[in-house]
Amino acid sequence: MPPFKREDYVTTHEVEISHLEDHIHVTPGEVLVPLPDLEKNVKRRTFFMNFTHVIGFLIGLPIAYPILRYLMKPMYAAFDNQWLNVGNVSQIKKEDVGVQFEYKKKVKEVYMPEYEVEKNVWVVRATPELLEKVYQGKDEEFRDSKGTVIWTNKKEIPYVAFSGKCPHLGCAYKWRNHKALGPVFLCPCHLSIYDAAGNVLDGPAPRALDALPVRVSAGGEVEIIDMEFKAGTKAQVRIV
Amino acid sequence: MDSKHSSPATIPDHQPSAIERLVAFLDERVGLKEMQAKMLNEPIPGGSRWAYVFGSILLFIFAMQAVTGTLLMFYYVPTTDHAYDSTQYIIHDVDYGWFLLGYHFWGSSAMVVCVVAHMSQVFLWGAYKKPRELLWLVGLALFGIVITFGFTGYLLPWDQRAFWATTVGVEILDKTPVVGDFIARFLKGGPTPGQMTLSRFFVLHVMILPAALMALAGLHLFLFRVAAPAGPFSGTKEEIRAKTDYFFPRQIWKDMVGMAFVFVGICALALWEPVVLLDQAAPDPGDYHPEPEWYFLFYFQLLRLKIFAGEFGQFLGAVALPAVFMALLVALPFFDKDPERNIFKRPIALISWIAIMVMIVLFTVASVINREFLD
Repeated sequence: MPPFKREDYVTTHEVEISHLEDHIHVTPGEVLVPLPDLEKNVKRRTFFMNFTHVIGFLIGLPIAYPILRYLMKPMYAAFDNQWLNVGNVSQIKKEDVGVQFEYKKKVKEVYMPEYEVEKNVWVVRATPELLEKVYQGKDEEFRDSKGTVIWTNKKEIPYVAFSGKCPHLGCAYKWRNHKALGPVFLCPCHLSIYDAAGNVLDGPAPRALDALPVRVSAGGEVEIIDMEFKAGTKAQVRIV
Repeated sequence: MDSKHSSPATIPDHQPSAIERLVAFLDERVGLKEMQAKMLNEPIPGGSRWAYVFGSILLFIFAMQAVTGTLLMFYYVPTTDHAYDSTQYIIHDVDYGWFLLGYHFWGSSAMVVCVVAHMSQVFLWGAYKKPRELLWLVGLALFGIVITFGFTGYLLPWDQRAFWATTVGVEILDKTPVVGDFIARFLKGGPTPGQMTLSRFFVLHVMILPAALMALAGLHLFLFRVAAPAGPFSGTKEEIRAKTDYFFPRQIWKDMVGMAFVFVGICALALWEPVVLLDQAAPDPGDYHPEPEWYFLFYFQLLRLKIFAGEFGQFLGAVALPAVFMALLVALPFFDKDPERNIFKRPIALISWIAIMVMIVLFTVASVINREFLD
């Protein structure tokens, strides 16, 4: 093996032409590569570079909007204002107590076959005092997406139906006996607590439980319109 | 690699074997040996350490998640009428399906644990400081991807646990001012979780996130090699240079031992704590008390606090707190310009790290204790 000599080897860092910057413009750290002969006739290199970007942008721009619309298709659905039968009031044995009514709702989602989902609603047969706490002297109106009134819950009707969705972050709450507060609606997720009138007693919920349009037939059949409201807002914003 | 072996032609009377000739053929065209030398002969300043194993382990966990995830897709069907049944089929009928699903499930937990360990190591070693700011930023993006992986994968079995974690998780995103409603509907593909949500989470989980993770992990490694490893935070330049080692063999050996530990750990969890589905997803949870995966429990408990009550409180807890935390992590290498890397000379950094870890442990324990009071 011949002896190795350092001066026989260079790294790219060491290829330097001293005082080059005195003769042509060089930015410190810039790497200069000899220009191939064929390239020497090509003018306007910066123009071609910018033109490449413009063409790329022109390809991207017209497909951005169709892609966005494509993905947004199912986001907004019309409200369903059908009355659903959820059970009979004979299930309610005591006044001012939350009773869970479980029911099945038919769901038809775009191309999928129609299927049933289990949902629940809480119904309270209210004493006049509790009714006053729910309605505070005013009938409650419900509107469709255009803002027209589709139903009014009269303040004298003793049956109140609460959506099963907790207004805090959308969990499902239960009727429980609380050590200090007595019988309450309690959400196991983030521990929001509501009284039988739906008002917040404790926990992080921003508003009272959402009362739904409810009507009770002469035979005691309870019907509701299955509405859902956005969780986490002070105001009620209907989303379903 | 011994340099003598790399050039068999210089040894007289040596007839190269078929394999050596094949390697030489490929090497001539691909530059295998140079590539191997680049990969293995990476100098580790100050020598190999057990503390450096987490990056390699994460790569290993991801590879295993990709393998087990691909295998799960042979039977899994991402529709609301078949997701639950196909997952049950994997668990109960397919040979070793329970094991592969269990491995994938516990692998995700291992991923989160190792990401936190990796980030902690980088933070405590001050390795995010100049010139490694971009490495840290890409790492944060990877952290976000890992969390999103966990969140989207959670929905796929379509059981009660899946449904409620998604319902609440998306409601949290909904609290973002101005764009929250759009984001939530965009993710769910409608006002409530359903088929569109499952489709979207599925595409995110098996296509978009893996592609993003591979691209960013590649960039992460590239930036790591450009900046070179940070090395220990104490010792003089001469001491560190004297102990400097190549990646192969000592660090690779430690990494392999770490991977083996993680592999055995995940297998053990898959064996002893196999995945059991709850009832099929429905907007009526029955007796089930919704709860997120264990690594989100501290945050779940945090949102129960009084200061996060009401509309503004919810914005604070659901949006502002995580956003500020992430923004601080992003800004960290840019405001912490002190070149001191020794963690024992950076009291604020040390105290912050301890405080965050203690907070996570305390709130996790609190949420577990709270379970008892719910029934």
